Amino acid sequence: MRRRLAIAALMATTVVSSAYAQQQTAKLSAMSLEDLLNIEVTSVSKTEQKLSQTASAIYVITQEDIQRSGATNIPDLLRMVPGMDVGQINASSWAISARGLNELYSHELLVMVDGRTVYTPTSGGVYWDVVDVPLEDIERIEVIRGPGGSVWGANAVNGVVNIITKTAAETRGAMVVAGGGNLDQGFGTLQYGGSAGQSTNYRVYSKYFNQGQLPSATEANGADGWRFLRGGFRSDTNLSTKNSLSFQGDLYLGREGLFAKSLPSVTMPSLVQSPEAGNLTGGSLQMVWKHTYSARSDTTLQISYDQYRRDHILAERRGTIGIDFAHHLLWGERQNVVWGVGYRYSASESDGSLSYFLVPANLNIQLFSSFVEDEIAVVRNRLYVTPGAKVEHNYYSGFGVMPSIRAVWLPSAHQTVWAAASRALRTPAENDAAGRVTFGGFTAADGMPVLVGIVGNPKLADESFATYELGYRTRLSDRLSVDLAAYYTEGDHQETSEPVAPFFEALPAPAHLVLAQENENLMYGEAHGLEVFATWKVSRRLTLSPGYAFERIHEHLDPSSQDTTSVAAAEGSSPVNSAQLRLHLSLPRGLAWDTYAYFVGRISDPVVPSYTRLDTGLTWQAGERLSFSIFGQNLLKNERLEYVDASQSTAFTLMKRSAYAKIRWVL
Amino acid sequence: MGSVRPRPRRLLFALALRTAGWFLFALAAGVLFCAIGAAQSDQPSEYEVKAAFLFNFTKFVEWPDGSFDGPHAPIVIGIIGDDPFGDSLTRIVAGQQVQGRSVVIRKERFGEDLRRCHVLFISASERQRSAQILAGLRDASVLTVSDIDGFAEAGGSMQFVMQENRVRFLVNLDAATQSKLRVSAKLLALAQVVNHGQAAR
Repeated sequence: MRRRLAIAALMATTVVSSAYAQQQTAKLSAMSLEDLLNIEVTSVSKTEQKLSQTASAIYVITQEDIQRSGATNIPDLLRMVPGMDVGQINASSWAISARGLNELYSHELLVMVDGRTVYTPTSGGVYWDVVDVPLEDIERIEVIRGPGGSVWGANAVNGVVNIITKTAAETRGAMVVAGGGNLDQGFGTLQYGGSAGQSTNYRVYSKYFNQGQLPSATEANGADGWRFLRGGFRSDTNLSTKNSLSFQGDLYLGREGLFAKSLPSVTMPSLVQSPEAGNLTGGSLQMVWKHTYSARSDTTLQISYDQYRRDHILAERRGTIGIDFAHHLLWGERQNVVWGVGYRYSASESDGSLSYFLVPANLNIQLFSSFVEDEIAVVRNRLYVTPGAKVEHNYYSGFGVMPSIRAVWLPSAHQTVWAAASRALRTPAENDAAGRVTFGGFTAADGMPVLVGIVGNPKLADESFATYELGYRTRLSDRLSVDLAAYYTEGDHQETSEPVAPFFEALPAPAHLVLAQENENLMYGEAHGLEVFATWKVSRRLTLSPGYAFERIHEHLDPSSQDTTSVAAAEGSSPVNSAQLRLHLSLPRGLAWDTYAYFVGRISDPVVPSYTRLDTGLTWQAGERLSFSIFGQNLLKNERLEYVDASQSTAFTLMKRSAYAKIRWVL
Repeated sequence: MGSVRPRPRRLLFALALRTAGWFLFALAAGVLFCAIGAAQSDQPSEYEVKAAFLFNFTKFVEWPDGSFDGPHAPIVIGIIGDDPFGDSLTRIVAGQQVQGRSVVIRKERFGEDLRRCHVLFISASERQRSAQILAGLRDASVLTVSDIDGFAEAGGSMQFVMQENRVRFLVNLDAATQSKLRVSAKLLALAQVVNHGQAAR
């Protein structure tokens, strides 16, 4: 009954709005040229218009949002997206997901920088500490909550984050950014952008930051300070009117601390926690060639190479080559087709340690993929239906198919109703299939050492998720727009830990018994939720952007399962309720005041009480070239717990109040 | 895998729908009231106004004899490239008569005969190809309109520009004259006149 009422209300809104649109165009067609010249129009950009008609729960963080937020890293930027779960574990570790199933190295979220995927096949998760570009160079960050597997492939189960940087033509000139404060002790970016010849633009930059330690639960210094130096470039060349070529790359060098947990030896099998610092190095290089055949057909070839080395617990080195080709064509009068193929080769080596190692320690894996998507204009400018599918073949679970169907209905120029049904897969990562984690151990009565832990399962299958989504977007007036998305997901073959028969192991010596659990696919469940956000330009100077997300997950075990932890972990890793409020006030004389409040409800596994984070800052734009800003972050509560890694492999520290000042000078 | 197990699916699904229903109801009701309240103060979008201009241009331009198949043949407004107007242009011209002719909207494609249009709007998506399109229409009696930067100076007849959230337009008189189009003085009085390559200044 209520549902019918809701649908009736929704339809009534639609009818009212489209009747209004008709009335308005009638008014416009009767206007004289003089009247038309005087009419003020709303300024909605092409991208905005296109995005408002997307058939998925998309949220875009613009460069303006980035400047206003005062965030100094990418994870902090993602907090403003309703439905994103961002939990900082310590200074350099985050658990980030969308729509739940969050954890350190959460593997249901696909993250890309200019189309290059940055998740590691080791865990399927993202090393957020090394995902960085100068924030001033970001054009926008597109965040899609919900599945995107039919285009982006495995791991795009709960969301896709695509960080899109500006082209070199947009960053010409020199830029100096420098700042510092009590936590972000020093940071800066030096950049120069220029042109070489008539058709090539480039930029080169270097960026440095040094962040201090956060307090731990017991000590004032949590040993998690870190610093990074990064250098990079981008060049864009128009070879001809039909060909463009862009290159970009970066190199980084960093050192970060943490309280590491380790097992000294088989005969002393209790975890020892000690502060340690590890070096991180890496870099990437990528080429994108776009060729336009005609207005109706173009192709993109992207080749990328990515390498990293992390001296932490696993001591791993990895190199990955990715090749992706996509062809976009308008087919006939009504169809907009994109298809593509992709290949990835990733080679890794790891030393491991007694508490965590991989079997085998060195592995080369390949991934093959192909996808097709066809946007069909059923009624042009009114109704579009987009079926699509991706087929992938991965090293562990073989072939996987990820189909989806999406529909958009545009009842008027100001409204979008969309719906989608999709199947997404989460393929096993090396950690799931080949990981050996040891929690601890003891010495048995007969003197035999015993280790307790988890062993990977090379026969692990894909986790599969079927998601049904419904969304509505409307620009009610020039001042107010509202975006709503609701979803229902069924998960199957989700990962559990099942006891296996104890076994003896000779190495590392002395011989010992292993009491182990193995990864299996014996859990299934449902999730439902809703996200809503609005942008309200209250006056010429004041803009309010509230957002709210609700999510609930229910998990069940197969009767054959003996798992005791996975259900609670999956249900309780993210809050049921979360909300954001952004307030932007532009003041006279180039001053702007921004306040961001983030409410995150209680997380139940491991328990983190609900909290509100408050950031606020003042920016003074002194002319076109120079700006000064001061920001306070996390102002409400000092030494606040934000997220705890359930595996306890990474020690948590507490968030503290901080402030910094920044100067930005564009020459 | 493949094991048969009971699934309390219907119940949970119903529960999910009920929760979602509640929210949708509350939000839709809110949206409805806001929509009614906000509808009065809404401003038209850039392209709604541009669509109204396109339609208006047909009233102030005279095409040479032989541009129409007959005395009652419609005036054809063609759009090439991504259509930015949505349905606003179609709505504006619906049922309208100009110089005793109806006005029709036609989607055009690059490579097709664009000379059958009387007005051709070249979408910003055709930026790369606009010079080619103009070259193909040289001496044809087609009023070319676009909002691509530098379009009028590059030989297009009319170009929309945005100034302080208002739509303005430039006229390249040389280009219009070369196309044997007669632009009324009223239209010229409201336009900013530029000449091809600024040469005739």
